[in-house]
Amino acid sequence: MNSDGIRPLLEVRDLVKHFKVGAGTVHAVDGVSFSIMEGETLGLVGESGCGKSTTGRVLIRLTDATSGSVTYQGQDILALNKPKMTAMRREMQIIFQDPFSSIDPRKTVGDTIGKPLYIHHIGTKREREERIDHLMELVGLSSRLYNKYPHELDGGRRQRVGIARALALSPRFIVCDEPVSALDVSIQAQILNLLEELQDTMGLTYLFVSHDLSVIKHLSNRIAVMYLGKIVELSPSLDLFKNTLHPYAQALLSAVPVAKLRRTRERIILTGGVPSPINPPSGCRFHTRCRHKTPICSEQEPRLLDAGNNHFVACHLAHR
Amino acid sequence: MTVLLSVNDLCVKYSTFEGVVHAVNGVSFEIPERGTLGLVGESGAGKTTTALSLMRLIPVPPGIVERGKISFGGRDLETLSEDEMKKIRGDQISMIFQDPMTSLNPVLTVGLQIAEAIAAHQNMSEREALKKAQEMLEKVQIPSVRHKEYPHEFSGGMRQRVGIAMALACNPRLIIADEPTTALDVTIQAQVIELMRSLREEFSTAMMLITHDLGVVGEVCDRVAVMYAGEIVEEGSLEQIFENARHPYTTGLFKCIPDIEEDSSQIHPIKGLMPDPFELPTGCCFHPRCPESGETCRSWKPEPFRENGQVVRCHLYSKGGVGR
Repeated sequence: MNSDGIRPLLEVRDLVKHFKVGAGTVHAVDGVSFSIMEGETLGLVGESGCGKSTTGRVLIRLTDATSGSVTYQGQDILALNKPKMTAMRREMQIIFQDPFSSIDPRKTVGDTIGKPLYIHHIGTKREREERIDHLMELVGLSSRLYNKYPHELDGGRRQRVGIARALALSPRFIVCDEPVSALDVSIQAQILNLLEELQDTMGLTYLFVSHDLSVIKHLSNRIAVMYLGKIVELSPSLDLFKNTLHPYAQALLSAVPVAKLRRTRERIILTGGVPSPINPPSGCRFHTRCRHKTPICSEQEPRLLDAGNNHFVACHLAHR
Repeated sequence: MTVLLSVNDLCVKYSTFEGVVHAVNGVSFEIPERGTLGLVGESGAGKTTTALSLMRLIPVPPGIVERGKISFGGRDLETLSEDEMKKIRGDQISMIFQDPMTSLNPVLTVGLQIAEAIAAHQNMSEREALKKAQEMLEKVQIPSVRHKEYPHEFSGGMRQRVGIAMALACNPRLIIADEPTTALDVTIQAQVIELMRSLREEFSTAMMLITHDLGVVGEVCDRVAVMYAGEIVEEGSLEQIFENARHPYTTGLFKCIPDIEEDSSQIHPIKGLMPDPFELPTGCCFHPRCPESGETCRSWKPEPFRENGQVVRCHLYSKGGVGR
């Protein structure tokens, strides 16, 4: 799908989330800006601790932002009061990574899926039951599972319960936070296809957070690559893979093991690990591991700028 | 090539209150000296149980090693006493575990942990063992001065390097690596894979790599065995499995992975779920999920069909490809 001419559903500006911990302040998300178009899937990819999940959670205010703005259809979500935010949650939902810990073990499948309807006082008991039946059918859960408990289900079915719950209020925007990472490949493929089908039939907009580049590429229209709380590259999906501009993104893409005999990419092995987000490096945060670094990289922070064709990159070398 | 490890008709089950779990059902394979076998499969396929059987580390009870002949370097492992087995474990066969956070002792410095393994098998003083441990740390690219640090002071990738140093410390003939990079980020995984490859050359060790990730197998292994419901359904060279997979489960697995090198990729899930290990299907275990299954598949177990070193257990191929 092309995002040209489609208005943004959600706009994020200078979003910052810091966590105070004993040793100082964790700069989890440190000034990220992007927009998500109606009906598109924006993939957010990066390694552990880069701030991708925190970004997703802050967007729907599961955690409060330190600063910045998130505009959803003209309203700044971060400024809404509690009742207004509660109403807003009908529009935006989340699917969590771990289908084992994100579902109440003492509630039946039906109760779990119906809980959002109950919270938002939607329908009579009977109408809610009908809606739950419909949702279960939608995500491919047999109706005989209505009264089962989560421990009686396997991981794939449990994730389907999480998806049905997220769909209960007919939201327009869903944050998918690593929804297939805990699943086996054959089940992962089932869930990915389900998410795509639902997007097509219901016109959903996804922010898809994942560390898995093959999955991200498969689903996303555009992809944002994060490193230490910053977006380093943001581009239409295919373009990111064809013409990778940021040295970190290049290394990340080249590191993915491919289930093929002949790999077409040269492998770039990064040295060392990710620096601490408590005391991130000056200038470009990647300069400590970058093989192309120049003196300016440690002094000045590169801005995320358009390198042509809506391909944004935050690197001093790319904009010379 | 000389055969280093051969496993013949291994059957392991677990007896639980709910019933008997048939974890490994008649698994046979060989690993030559310096060879690298990838054991691939999804959760519950029996990969880890197979690995633990090789080390004779299946907890009994609930585990029952029903039958199976494991021969290592020409010796039958089941005939060995526990003391003799202890001499092999950690010395000639060693293991790298998935989670470096839980497989290391949190209250012992990494230097002492590696030295402990060395002192247990080699006639060395504690001092010498500690010195050797420091050398091993350098081998896995950790500065030897860090031998005094505790596991929590290392990052995930570094901890896995410590695990590798420990596994290699006694210069084993076989390393069993159980999902060694699954808990790591991709760029760190790339570092660890690179390291394992170069050290395998240097130490000329054979390896059995257990993983669910076909991409990692492609990076490291020269032979691949695909497990499903406690059986090896297909085995072959890396080329055979990647380019000419025959078993519908193997081809199905490849179709489940989005292709990162193609502009647009289609994924085709395998329908259904892993079978209940308490009640395995009759006939071919994969038949309830197999797009090609027929009457024969429901009733009869397929015999292995061999061609050019590739082994497949599927009625489409058995008896010269008579089909279903």
